[in-house]
Amino acid sequence: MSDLATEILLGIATAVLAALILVPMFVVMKLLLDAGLVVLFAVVVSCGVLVAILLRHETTR
Amino acid sequence: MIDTDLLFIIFIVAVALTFDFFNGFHDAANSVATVVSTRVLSPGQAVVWAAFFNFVAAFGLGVHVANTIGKGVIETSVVDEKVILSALIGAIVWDVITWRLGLPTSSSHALIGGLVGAAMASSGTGVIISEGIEKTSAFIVISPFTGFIAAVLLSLATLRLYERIAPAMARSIFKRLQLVSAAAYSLGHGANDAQKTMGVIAVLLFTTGHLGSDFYVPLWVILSAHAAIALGTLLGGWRIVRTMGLKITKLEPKDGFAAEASSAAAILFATQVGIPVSTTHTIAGGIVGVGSTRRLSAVRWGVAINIVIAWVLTIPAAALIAAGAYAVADRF
Repeated sequence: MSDLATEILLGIATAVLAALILVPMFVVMKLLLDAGLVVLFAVVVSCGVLVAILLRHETTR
Repeated sequence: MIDTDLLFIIFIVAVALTFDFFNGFHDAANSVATVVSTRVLSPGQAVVWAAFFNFVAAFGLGVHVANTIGKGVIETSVVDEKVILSALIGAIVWDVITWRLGLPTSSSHALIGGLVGAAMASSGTGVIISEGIEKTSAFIVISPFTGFIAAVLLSLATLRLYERIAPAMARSIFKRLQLVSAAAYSLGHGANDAQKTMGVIAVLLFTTGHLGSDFYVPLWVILSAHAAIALGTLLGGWRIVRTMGLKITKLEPKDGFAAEASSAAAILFATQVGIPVSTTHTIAGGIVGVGSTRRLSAVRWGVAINIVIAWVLTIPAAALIAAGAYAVADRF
């Protein structure tokens, strides 16, 4: 496969990957917002802190 | 002959559009910070690209945020020309101060602070709609956290996908993808930020009897607000671009793509649910997110903390300035 074709395929794969991550994430956020602002706030902040802790653990090993 | 009341309203609409222009000047350049810092586009090309998509956002993305600003922050019954003018003065003065200091604070929160301060100076605390303030305040925290989480996930996923791809090829792909992510970000920015000005103009027209019995946002207000923010993007904000794109963390094209795509999604989400968010906050969260996936020390936390302090100060500071402006305006 030529480099150009590989680039095009990888570009499409990356865009699809981004959609597969972002779309469900924001669907869940809408459901959480419907459940209440406090619920959304608590979940998002907890997840953010958890991700930061995990990254700190993984990147300082 | 045009009466003086109408002339005053036209003057305030002009001030609101000037605020929108400065919003573009102050905030919108964040849209292009990552594209410039990764050298995908030259600064000149990047601002034209961002401004175009700021304007295109006028079509098809609704007016939910404008409705929130117009009807959901302060009671419309207390809104008059002096309240709106004072709110705009509070927001503009705070924007100019933070621009001079090179701090990427939020024009959106400055405007909300201005509205709250002017309304409170006019009629006391009872006219504040707590639900609108609570939502906006909660999203001061939620939007950068969302940008951060989404950027981390996207960054890690693309890292895995490109594990066995030559760095030169990956760089070439992400340079092209960044054009799309920057466009999406500018679209979100235009949609969310221009609608704040639309909301202010629409509530002014509504309370002064120029809209009839129902609140809505006229087409000319939508188009002029988007044109003003796009023009602002074209003309300025490089001091802040440097802070956002280069000082927080060093970026590669794949990082820029992850930061922009995730921030764009976060802003478009907020726009669809009618919540005014800071595009600055959101992209900062995204940039911190991609920097953190390399190592937390890749993020220059000193700069990030200074930015957070300025954010926290924005609503009270703009409210104080607006209250002062109202006190002066009320003497006339």
